[in-house]
Amino acid sequence: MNKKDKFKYNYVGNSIPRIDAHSKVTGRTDFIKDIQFPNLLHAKMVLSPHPHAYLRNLDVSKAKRSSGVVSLLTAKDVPHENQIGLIIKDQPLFADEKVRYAGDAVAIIAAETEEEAKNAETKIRFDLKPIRGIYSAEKSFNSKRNFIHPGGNVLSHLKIRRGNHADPFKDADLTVKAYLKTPHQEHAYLETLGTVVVPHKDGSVTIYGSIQCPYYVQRSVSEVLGIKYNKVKIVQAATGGAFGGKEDVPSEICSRVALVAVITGRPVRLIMGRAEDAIYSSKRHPFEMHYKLGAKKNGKLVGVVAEQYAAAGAYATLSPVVMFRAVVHAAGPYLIPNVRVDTYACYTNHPPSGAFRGFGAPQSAFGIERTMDLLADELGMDPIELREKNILREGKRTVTNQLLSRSVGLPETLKIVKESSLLKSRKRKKQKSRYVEGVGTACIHYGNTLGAMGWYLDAAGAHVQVHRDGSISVAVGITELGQGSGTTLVQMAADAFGVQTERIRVLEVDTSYVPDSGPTVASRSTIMSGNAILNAAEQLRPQLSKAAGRLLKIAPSKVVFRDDRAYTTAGKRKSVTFDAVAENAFLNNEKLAAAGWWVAPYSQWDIKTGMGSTYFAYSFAAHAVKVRVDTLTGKAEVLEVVAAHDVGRAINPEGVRAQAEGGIVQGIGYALYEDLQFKDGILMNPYFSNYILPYPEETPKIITHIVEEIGPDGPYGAKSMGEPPIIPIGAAVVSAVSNALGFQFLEMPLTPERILRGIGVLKNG
Amino acid sequence: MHKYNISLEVNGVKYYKTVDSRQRLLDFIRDDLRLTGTKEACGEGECGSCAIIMDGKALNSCLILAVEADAAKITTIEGLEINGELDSIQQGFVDEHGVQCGFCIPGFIMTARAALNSNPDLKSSEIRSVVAGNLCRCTGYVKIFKSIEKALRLEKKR
Repeated sequence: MNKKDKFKYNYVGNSIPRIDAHSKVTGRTDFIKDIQFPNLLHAKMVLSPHPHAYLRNLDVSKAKRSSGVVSLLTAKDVPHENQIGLIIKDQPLFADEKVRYAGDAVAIIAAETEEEAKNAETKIRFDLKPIRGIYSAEKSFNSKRNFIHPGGNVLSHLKIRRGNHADPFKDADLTVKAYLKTPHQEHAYLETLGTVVVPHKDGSVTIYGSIQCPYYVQRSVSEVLGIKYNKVKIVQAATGGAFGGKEDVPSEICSRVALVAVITGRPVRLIMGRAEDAIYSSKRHPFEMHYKLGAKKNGKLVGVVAEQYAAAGAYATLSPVVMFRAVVHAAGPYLIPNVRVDTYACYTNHPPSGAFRGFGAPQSAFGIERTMDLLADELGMDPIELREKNILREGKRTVTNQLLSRSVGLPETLKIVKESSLLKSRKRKKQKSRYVEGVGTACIHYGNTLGAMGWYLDAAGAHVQVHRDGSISVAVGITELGQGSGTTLVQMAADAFGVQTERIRVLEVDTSYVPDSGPTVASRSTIMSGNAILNAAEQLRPQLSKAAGRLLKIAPSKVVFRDDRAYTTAGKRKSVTFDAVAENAFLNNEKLAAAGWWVAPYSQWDIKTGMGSTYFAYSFAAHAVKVRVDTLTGKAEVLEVVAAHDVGRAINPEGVRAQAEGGIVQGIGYALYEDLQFKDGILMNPYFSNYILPYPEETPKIITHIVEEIGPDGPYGAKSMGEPPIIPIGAAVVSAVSNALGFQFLEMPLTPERILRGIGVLKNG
Repeated sequence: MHKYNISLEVNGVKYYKTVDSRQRLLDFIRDDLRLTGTKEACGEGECGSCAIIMDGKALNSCLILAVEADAAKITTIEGLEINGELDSIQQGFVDEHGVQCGFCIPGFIMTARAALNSNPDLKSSEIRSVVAGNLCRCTGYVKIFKSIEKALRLEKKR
């Protein structure tokens, strides 16, 4: 570590309570629906009832005349840009010629009350000419005539070609093959999507909302309204969970609501209902995957071939970048000389698949980790031993040929899992009783922040101001969504200034304070904002040192800030309070505000071969899971999870464990319960009563071990932590159920029905 | 649509109000009384985010009509903190990192508070079943259990 490590940390590394806890436990935190606005209109989007059809006519005449309706907009009413899309502009703001999923927005209604908006919606008449729908990525890929968009159904194809990729198994003693499937997953953030747009007389707008990526919203609204970025101000309200579900989707919603606000000249609010949110909003991509792995008899991997087909849904949205993470992580954290991976995103008539914690990596982990288990079976080798023989270690190269010269905590995480008492209960013989138990494992690497394909967005700012009274304001462009970034930022800032955390206030995220800091995704909050804050603190330290030097009558270079005071390096006897330093600096006209900025280290890759330094750092994790399965009912239950995570420096260890526990339980839902069902393109279970999420009683015993392989580029050595917990857990749970039943399951979720079919109690068909 | 006059006590304050016959108690609390700490996440009684304590019981306020609360005594999340001092369950959630996005937390706290009120000897092994009907998507519940366990210890001391 560099000079940053010389600090004696008072806060970094300590589990201080969350800064937002008090306000949240007392009900004071204002989410978007809690904020009062005068003269409010209530908006509702009108969604297509059909998954794939030509929109011949939309009769809104009766709805427009309905009681309380002030405005009703369709594609015809869009003055500037009706074509939106973050990466590929394939999505109409309001569907015009065609609807592409049951939930596609065709209009927006604004009325004096929510009730009146709902009532008007029932008066809209659709004239649709149905087209055959496509509901599987592989079918979409193979469809020669039925195209959801004019350019064809494959919107992204990324690949890795390494070594003898034409014949990767030439030197293999044996190979195994698997066809694997992973499902859609609903984010099910407890707070549904919502926004309020306030128009101003100068033509500018202020947008408040449950928003993960304010700068995405700013861009989209600016394009749709045809006004400049400096007239679009986004203020994030407290956000009740996101998990990727509020990454790109708010851009679409806020743009439509902004249009109504500007046209009516009144503040407009849109808060989605639970079912409406599920029908309209993005999901985790379902994957269909063909994997083949080859190895020597001693277990050394020789080659891998993987074909991944992801159902992208009706519009591209974030699919191209989700596929980047999927392809880079497709072959797992292993040394494999010969690699051929093809990852395709294909349009289907589903809601757009987008960002969901893990961003393509949980699907890839399921593919490679399950196939590794099959290989272990084939070799007659312990699955952990097989992994130990092949994992990435310091000085080794990933399948994209990236040299990992440092900070590789995978061997340590795997060792912790291997030596845990949970692993010792692994069953090797077939059990005969009604209840059977099993143990499974999986391990992963996780590329930190946006990586090569998103590098152009991978910078972040912080505006830090020391006030005359010694209090400090910190503004960043990265949002608090529940992950705890606000707390880690306060810890890092306090240690950077050598002051108490009480001095520091993190301001609400507002696009007018801080330049575009990219999206709050890719587990990048702590790394990006933390480094930007450290950069700002470095800019302010000379002025503070000068002031302290004046007060202590020493040279500024001799000043040390610690424990809320400024000391002389020599004696330690002389000191002054930080308050006095700030006051002195102010009275001497020192500049006490700084714009910090940090750019992620450059990463690049070759799109033809997939070779390159895809991410500047990696986090690592290994999970072991113990399950019990009732062979009579087919119900699987997770009893215990041991999780080891290499997160670099843990800024707030309890916060790290909180992320692990939350991600693990979300992943248990993904593996066992969450079964989003579409019938002919219609979502059958948009309610919490029929989309089954993990409840308190489904929570197993979870033991989280933190491994701290310092990340050289992270603030204080931190690496990413938000997403990794959900990446291996699905594969590990299915591995454990397979171990319990002596049958290798290759599809999630493992519903009782699927388990009973697997063990032959229920017959197919 | 009918209007009814109701009188009730919320967080120790007496209210005399006219409500619509179809109005949910949740909306009455949030919109008419402007107590927005009570949250709506599902609107169908599946998640417990809107839990309040009514006449000693934790109930989902999205499933109750405002008229049903006539003559009732209600406590919402805003009613727990007394003279700036947190309730022991609130304190437990602060101390044990039980909060993430926080949207579900008022519901968990009210549910646990009601259980603890009716059984001061609640055991930590019973916590799971007490909050079995509350959903949280962030925490994985582990720290929520610990938060309530902490509250049990704090309560014994008080």
